[in-house]
Amino acid sequence: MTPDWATKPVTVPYANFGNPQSLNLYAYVENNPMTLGDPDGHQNGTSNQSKGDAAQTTNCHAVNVEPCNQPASTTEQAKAVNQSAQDKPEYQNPQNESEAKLANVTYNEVGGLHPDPKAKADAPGSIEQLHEAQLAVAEIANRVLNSDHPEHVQVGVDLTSKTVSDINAGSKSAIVAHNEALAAARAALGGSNTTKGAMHYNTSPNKMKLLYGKKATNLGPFQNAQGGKRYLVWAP
Amino acid sequence: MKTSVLAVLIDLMLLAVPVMVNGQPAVTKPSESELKSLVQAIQDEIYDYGYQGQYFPEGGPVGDLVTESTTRVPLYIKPSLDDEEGHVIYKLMPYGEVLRFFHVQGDGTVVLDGDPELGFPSSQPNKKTVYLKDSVVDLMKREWLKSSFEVELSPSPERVQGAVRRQKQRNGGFSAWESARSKGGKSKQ
Repeated sequence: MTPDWATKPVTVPYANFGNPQSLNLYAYVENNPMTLGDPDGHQNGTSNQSKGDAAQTTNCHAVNVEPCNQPASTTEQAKAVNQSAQDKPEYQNPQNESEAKLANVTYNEVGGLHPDPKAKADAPGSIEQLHEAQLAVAEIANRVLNSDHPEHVQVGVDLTSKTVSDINAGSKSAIVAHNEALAAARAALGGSNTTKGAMHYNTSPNKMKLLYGKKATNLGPFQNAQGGKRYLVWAP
Repeated sequence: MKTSVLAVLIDLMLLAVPVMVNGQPAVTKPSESELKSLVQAIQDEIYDYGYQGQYFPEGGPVGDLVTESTTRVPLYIKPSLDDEEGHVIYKLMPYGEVLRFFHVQGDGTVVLDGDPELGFPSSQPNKKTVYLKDSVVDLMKREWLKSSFEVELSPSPERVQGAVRRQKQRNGGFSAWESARSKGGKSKQ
């Protein structure tokens, strides 16, 4: 038996005569080659590589986190989808009460902060550092809310009327801030520990090294809605 | 969330002590128009959120009665603006006395920082003064500009609508008064 495109008879390396399905050229993609990957035409459909390729193809369309090997037109489509998602971010619903409460606390504490538009990547005040601040608040608030620690989180676990109004009105900044707070809450509930067990945080217009000494971690300066400088300080 | 008294002390001592420039305090006294804008922002927020009744509890009014239905409440303002940002202490009922940041916009409008519904917790820059050390609060009240604002128990509809309109301009279209009367409510929580 030879492959049907062979000019000379050669052994079919993948054929298993005990399993007729091994002769099905598209079995490895479950007869769906339009959607799933086909790197070399001989890859087993159950291999991790094939699944990974398929997943990458799917993610490329759905999320477009990184450029991927797609025809230019497809990449352009993906960019358009991504741009649309940035212009009109979709509100992410919490999956349970714990997520909702922790996301709301995180939003209430730091949802009004914005990255410094002049900050370079990972620099003080950058979007990366703001995400770090959101995660720090979520982690610490989660510890305080869900432990026997004698202190308590003062800010409410409900969103304020203004925040709800902004989200319902489709405010991009409010929805993005909520989604980021929710992501931080999920990470914290999932056991993230970037704050190494810290129990204290504070938002402040000043760096707070004087308070916590070398143990303090200052994040920022970020900006509030009016452009005022704000820091997020956390400490053990 | 815990906020050390020491932290607040340090933080607010920085607020209370004027910056020295060439050996002289660089005190930029807010203009009369800015003070008027600040008072209007405070009053507008009270009327927009409907807090005015909270100034007239059963036991007696908060502040000094001007008429049977108007009370005058003290206001303490830091005598300098830092990057157009100022600080004020006043009684915002039902929360109590608060330290609040405010921002003077380019057109002279004042926008108060912070969302009152958060309740002015100790973890926020805008907080109840009960979280500060008494001596620091006393110092600020002595050193800062002293003014006042009036609260009417039953403001006219025109006064309330004026407050709503200005609050919407300050807050990106949001008005607590309108929100409370809309069907939108707090649906996403």
